[in-house]
Amino acid sequence: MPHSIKITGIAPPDVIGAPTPMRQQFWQLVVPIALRVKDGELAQGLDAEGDPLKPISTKTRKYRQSAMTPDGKGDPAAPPLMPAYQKSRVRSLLAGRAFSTHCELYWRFDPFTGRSFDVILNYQREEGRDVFGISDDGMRAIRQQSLAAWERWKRTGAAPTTKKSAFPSYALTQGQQSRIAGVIARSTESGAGQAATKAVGSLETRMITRGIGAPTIAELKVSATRSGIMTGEEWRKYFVQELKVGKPPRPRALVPTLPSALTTGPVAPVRTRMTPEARLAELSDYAQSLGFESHVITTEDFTTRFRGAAIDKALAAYDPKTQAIWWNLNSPAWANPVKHFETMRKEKFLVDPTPSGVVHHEIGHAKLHSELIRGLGLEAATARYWELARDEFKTDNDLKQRIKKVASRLAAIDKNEFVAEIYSGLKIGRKYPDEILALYDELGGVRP
Amino acid sequence: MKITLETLGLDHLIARFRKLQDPDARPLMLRWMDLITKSNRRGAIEGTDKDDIPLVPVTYRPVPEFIGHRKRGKVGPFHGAAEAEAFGNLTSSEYRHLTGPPLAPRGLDSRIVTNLMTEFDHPSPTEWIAYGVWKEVVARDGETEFLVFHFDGEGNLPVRDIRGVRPPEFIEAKESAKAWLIDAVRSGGV
Repeated sequence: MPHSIKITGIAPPDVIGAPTPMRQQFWQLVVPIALRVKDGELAQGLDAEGDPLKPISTKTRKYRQSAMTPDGKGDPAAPPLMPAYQKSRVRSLLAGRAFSTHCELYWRFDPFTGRSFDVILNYQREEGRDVFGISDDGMRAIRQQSLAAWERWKRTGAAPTTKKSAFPSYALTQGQQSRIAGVIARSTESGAGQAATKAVGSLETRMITRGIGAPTIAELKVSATRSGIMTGEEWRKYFVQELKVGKPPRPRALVPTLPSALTTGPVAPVRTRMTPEARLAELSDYAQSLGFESHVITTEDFTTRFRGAAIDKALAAYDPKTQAIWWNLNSPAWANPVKHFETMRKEKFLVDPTPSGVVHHEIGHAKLHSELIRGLGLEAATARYWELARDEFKTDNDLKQRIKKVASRLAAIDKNEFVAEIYSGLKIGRKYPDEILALYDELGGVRP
Repeated sequence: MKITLETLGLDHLIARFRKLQDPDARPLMLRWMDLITKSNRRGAIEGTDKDDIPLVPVTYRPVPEFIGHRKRGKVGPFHGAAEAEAFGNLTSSEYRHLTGPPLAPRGLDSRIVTNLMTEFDHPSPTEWIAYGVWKEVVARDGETEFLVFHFDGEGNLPVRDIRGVRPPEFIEAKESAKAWLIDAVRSGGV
């Protein structure tokens, strides 16, 4: 019975013969990469072999439940094992840790069953839903990105990290998260217990019953750090409550413990001071980890490539000719991304105004193009792709206004941007009215 | 009731756990509070005390219904405090017709189930406590918290002490504590 996913055999020769701290450093770099790849596979509903997970039954779909939502309901359309998408325990409790010879992905303590979540996943494995592994494509991506990260780390000349604590998948996942997932992710940080008790219910000490862990009732009564009383159901709701939008529940303190230049993908929060080169390298790697060709180029190359499109200030673009995503290193936005994305958020210009949101947006374009190719062939698909980019909803102003309201201003510019923006929103768990989703499907949008 | 884990063979694990600086045990507390609720609920339905021993049966109920009562509509199934008067209490004659176990005449709608609140406490870096409290289970005067008379067997009342986590749930609590401890050590990098 497996309890974790062991990743080994991808270390380059200079790591194999290196001293222990260096080997540990290499595997520290692999952990967030492997987590992101595994999380991406889970988000797509893939099993250990990269095949779609065995579908849930009609009855389960009809009465879909989730322990991780305040109302206890799951989304019938969500992939198997993930009724609450990124909030589901198969994704939110996933963590990784490094050793000197390998790294390990595993599932943390589940407060709802009182055991490690791998116990539940082993039951599911017996039912034919095995998630104890990473697909061959996933392993290739991990290897490729890990080697790149290792090369980058060597160039920095930094000392090997001494930090050995687990890295949570929660820190990488986009979208709303529940309070309990954040608590678990941070639970072993030094002094984490100190801030754990705060009044969230009413304080009442009469009629105390003996509990678990309490030496005497008298001791309970004199303690000044009680949390506040609620019924069992109220406690559950409190802990699975979503944290407020705009205040990401990421364990920020954990993220910078890995040198940001070493991580691939948008691991580092926006506030981390990174050079545009390092940031774009991460974003490009992230796009590649999701299976898309991606390159970083300078403005000169960028404007040449997208000649006539007047997008020399664009952050990135998808090129249907090369079927690749191109990142514009000299876009002024990358000099101060915090300010840039804050403006985007205030102006409601993007559905997901974050660096990874840009990745998802461009992938939305790429997926639209490949879906059109599948149906029409390359030439006709590319023509249709540009046709959608020219269709600016001019015949239906009401629809345009509704799109602005439920999605973003960029989504209302033209049908091509509409598809990319909706994809980006779906990727982080946004819900859209049926009318919007119908249009998205009709135009060739692909559900994440 | 203090949790004591069997640590035989776990010395290495315990030593590593002690190196963690005040970890956050709220995930474990959530589990323990759930077990307190579960234990209380099960005990209430089964009519058992804190040690899972059947409570002394009540003698005054249930009495058979008779036609006169039914006609006058004074008795019938009672479901919860909403249908009761004065702080969730019923009249003596109404209680006599209820069939639930001792202390839980209305079954799962009884106040020992619905009014059990839970809480956790972290008095020091090495102590975590979860416990339950029966809130506002009072007599018709709105003040007398009468459950304690049952717990301690005041006057002529037999002792019906349900203050505690019953053995099966207590074993689960210990297992959870062990699983949490292993997770903390595994994830804490010590």
